[in-house]
Amino acid sequence: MNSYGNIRAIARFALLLAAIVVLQGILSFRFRVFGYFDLPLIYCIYYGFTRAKPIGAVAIGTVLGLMQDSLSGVALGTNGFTKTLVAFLSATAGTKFDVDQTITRVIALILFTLLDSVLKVVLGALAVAATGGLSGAGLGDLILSILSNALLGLVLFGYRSRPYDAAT
Amino acid sequence: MVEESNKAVWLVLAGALVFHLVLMSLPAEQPSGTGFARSVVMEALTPAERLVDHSVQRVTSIWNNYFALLDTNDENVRLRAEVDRLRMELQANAEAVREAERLQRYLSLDTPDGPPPVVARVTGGDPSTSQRTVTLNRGQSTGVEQGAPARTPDGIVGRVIHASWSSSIVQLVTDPSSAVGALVLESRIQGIVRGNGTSELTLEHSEDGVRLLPGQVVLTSGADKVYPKGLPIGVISEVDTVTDLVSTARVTPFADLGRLEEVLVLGILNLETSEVSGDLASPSDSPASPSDSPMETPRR
Repeated sequence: MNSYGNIRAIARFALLLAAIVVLQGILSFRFRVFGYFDLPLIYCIYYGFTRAKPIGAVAIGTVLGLMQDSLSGVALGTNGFTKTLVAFLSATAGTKFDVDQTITRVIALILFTLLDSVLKVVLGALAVAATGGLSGAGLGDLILSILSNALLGLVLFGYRSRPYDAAT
Repeated sequence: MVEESNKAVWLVLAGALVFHLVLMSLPAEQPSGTGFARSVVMEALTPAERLVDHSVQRVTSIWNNYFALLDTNDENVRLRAEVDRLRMELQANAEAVREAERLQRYLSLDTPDGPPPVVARVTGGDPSTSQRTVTLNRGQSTGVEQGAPARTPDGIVGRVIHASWSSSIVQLVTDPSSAVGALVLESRIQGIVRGNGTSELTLEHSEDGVRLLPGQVVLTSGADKVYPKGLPIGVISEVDTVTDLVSTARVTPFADLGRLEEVLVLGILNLETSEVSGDLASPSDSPASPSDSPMETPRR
């Protein structure tokens, strides 16, 4: 019975991760404004903060990042690398800092979005394959992306944290 | 919360990062160039993408055809439901007629010899948020090949960079890593049209003594061996810079890349016959079909 329950839990979790990536693709295509959001990145940060398990966070970042890469034109491993690192850092931060404060979350979302973009540029400079990152659209889009992720992340974190707040 | 040993954590992180770096450095040497792992993920996720896209369209249709009409229907409930039902049927038929008209435009296009072109629906965008790609609901099973060019009746859209069995990914011409061999219709200047991450393209050429002017039409030159010669790209909107070596201009694409619904995926270019019959390759070539003239106002 336990193994059946575990399998169901894993399957639900896998569906959740797939839904995040698919939703990002659909929304960014249908509504231009969603091009500034990065739902997989926000979820990596959320998972790291709430679970505070670095190894699990590495796995989540790897899976989400590789799924993102597979449905886009970037080289496989680009988003995998950045999301893995972001998830790990957020899990580490979750064990060391008080990440329940709004200001902490805002700063983390801003810094991690910036880190994600900068890493893609660096990886693009090192690798021949296209990695995306800061395109010719440049600084303005990056700032909008940072603000969008921070805002959406705050909203989603606040909504999802309610069961945790009620339990404590 | 179980504490994980620091050493194990760092080993796992290092292993994962090295794994991603190795993936990025692997060249795409498989015959399809798409890779087994990417194909598996595409086959697993794109059906869900299509389902969500279809659901979003149905919800939008219901909202536009039912809820938005409640304020205009304050009479008998039965008559209101009947009128709404008839309106939904009418809208559904009208959408089908519009889709048929759009697809009819594809059938009237002249296409190069070789494998028949494939009409594919755009089902999703780029989830990585940093590149300009779209996902199509057609793949290798229907003849879509990696490297194949894609277009709409208005102009080129991009090229297929990944193709799995039932879906494919098209890199749009606005992508920063896209480059298309170009030809200015009026002056016959040859150059390269590059994407820059915005909705406009950049035309670069290095021919001396030639002046680019806004309003000039830009076509594919065929020099890149990807796009057949003579396909419409866009129109010059602004001439940017003139240096000793390279002149640049901004090009507005003919195809409305922000509202793609269907695209036509052409076959892989036959390098021996890179011209397209009936397209506007040069004034001396056979006249273009009226439906394929770039001088018509592009549909927006």
